[in-house]
Amino acid sequence: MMKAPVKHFILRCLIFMILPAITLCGLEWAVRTRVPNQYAIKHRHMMTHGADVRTMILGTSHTYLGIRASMLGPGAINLGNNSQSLHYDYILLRQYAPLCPNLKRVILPVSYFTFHDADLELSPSDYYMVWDYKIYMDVDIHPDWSKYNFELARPVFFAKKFNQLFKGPEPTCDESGTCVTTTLESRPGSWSAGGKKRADKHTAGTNMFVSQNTQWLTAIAEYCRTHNIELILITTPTWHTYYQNLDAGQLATMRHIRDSIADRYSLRVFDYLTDPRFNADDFYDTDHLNYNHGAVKLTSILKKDLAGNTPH
Amino acid sequence: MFFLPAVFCIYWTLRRHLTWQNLFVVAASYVFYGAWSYKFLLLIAFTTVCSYASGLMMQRVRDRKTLSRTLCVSNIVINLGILVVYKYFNFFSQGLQTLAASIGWHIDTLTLELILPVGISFYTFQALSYTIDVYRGKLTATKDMVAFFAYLSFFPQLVAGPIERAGNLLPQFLKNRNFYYALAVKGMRQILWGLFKKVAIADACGSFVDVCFLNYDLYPGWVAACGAMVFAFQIYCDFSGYSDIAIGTARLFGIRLSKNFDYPFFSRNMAEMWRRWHITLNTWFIDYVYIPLGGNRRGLMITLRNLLIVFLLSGLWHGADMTFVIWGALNGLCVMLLVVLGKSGKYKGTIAAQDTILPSLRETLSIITTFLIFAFTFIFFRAENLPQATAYISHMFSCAPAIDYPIFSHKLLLAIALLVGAEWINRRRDFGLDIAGNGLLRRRAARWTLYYIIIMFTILCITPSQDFIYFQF
Repeated sequence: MMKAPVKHFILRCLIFMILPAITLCGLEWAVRTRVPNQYAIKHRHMMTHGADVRTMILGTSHTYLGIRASMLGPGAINLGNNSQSLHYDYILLRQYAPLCPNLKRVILPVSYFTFHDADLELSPSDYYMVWDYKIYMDVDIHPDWSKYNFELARPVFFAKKFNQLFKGPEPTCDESGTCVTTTLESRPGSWSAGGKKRADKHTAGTNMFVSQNTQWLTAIAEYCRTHNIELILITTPTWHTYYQNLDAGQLATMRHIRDSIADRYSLRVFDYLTDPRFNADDFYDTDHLNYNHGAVKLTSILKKDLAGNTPH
Repeated sequence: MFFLPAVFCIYWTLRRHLTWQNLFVVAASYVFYGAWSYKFLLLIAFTTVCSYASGLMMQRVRDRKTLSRTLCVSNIVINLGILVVYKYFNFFSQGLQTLAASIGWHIDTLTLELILPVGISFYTFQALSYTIDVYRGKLTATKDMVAFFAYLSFFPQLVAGPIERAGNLLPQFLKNRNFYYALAVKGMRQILWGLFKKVAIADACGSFVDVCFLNYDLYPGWVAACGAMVFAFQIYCDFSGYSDIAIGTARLFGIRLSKNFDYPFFSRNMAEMWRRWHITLNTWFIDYVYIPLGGNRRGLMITLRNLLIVFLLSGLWHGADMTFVIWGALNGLCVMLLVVLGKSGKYKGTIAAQDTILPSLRETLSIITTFLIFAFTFIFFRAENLPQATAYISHMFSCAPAIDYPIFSHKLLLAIALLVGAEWINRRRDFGLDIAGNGLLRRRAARWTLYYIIIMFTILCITPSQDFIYFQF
């Protein structure tokens, strides 16, 4: 048995914790419901307008920032998100495609790092996005009582969102799901100098995840073929300070796997990685297009290419 | 979140059974350490068994000096051997290769792909201090193996100190502990203060410092200088924050750990700084290296040599890289200069503004100068390698135009101001939030309000978490 002072101490601690506990529960509720985010917006759109969707854009920030879905017609939605892995692309496709009886086309980016990236849960820098899929998109690969279902369990982002409660909502994406915050005007002054660092960051140094990611892309292609959906693979433009510093081996692996799957499933591939039509004003940083110039240009080019019958 | 409350409750439930309670401390500590790196549990157990056995054997053959010395040296060699293999093998191997290359020889040296066990430098030094103290006859070897395991693996201080001496910590595991309400409350307060320092200041400083050291060439020289100063705050809040959490947690279990930091940023010269910074490591080096080498009793030159050795070893203890060695050497040179000028002991036993509220102008200038020198030496500590350190320093003093500026949070500035203010007010107490019985704060409502404010402020300051820097040592 514990001594009376110990019990007294524990009781005091519990009493002390009541106020913070109530406050934190209230904040969890406020952050979930009062801070808008792109995941909730996209989920709501799919639940209410799924029947209208004809083109679904998946993928990472390369498509989330780089393709203006609204320019591809009223039935296009951008479901791309920062660092969204092929695994989550597949999950979102499986989750939302049944809600879209008119879905005809899926656009998926295949980037330099696509096959080499670890799953989100294992990523040291992007793991926190798993929460967004669980809480705001109802992705059910983790149980409801896992940490991924509580904003409080990712304190850094909880604190950021908490600050937004007071600053007021910040727009994240437009009505078709494309990121709106990455404009030319908001671009950092030293954006071009960061090309090598970003290329280094995207260079994996290991092929540990290649076979797993290849399987996910194959599963996406298989699903699309089974459901008569056209799958388009695109590689988005990058700035020369980025693509000149890419590892030739990793880039060759990416292209080889992408093209093999494209051949097997007769997919169209559009590779704009070093496309000279994109100039400095089109970029937000060295591997992302900006919202007001680059994304508009890429979407226009893509629209024309899609209308044609030959791959890029 | 659940570990500490669970361990606390079970620990005090076992209070009548000392051996069971110690056994539980060992089990909890091994679970704690295993959560970091379960692969190295055997290593710490091996170190513990070797030190325990050699202690008992030395006790038994106390009269036979040669045998006793052999046992002591053997255990030191084993423990240091493990440390060297895991931490320094590649450093020395590459050093040898470079040395050979400089005289025209080409040798292929072996490099090991080993992961450094968390906290190895800390528990190895604790094990060494026990062995040496038993050998010197300052300590009686304990027969209580469970208590010894608890001493070497006590989870609050296992991975990043304070480096405890057996003379202080071991006796506490050999007798029944009593729960003192006031001590536990003080412990909670110290944990809160440690968390504030780590989360609200160190991590926030870390984001700024990382950007400064990564892109220093894009920023003007004064920003690079700010980066160095902010790093001094980061390392202080990171390490002393962990020490506060460790000492506070130990208080919850009725254990008193040694003070590791004594308001070092209020030091008036570098000698005082080193008496107040990482106290348990510095006193370890004084007792087991500096004094056996002759200390300051064999003339000025020997004193200076001994000081340099201690600081070089201290640098090497922090990491197997020339940057740490240079960092140690620079600090050593500062202290050596003070010894030559006869000012190294000037501020012993006193604290800034000893009998006043605010420091004099002279004291203020001394404090600022000492801080700036200290922050400067820490550029070597933070830099990835020597070329980066030298390039960073030359950039600091250059007039290169600014291409960009890093983002500096006003909340971080406020947090640092709060830290300096609170530590100044409480500089005669154990830690910055040691407020019991202070004026208005005698009222519980006022104290709890203050705690709530600190908790909320800390939550609002959360930035991407960084590991405690000293875990790597």
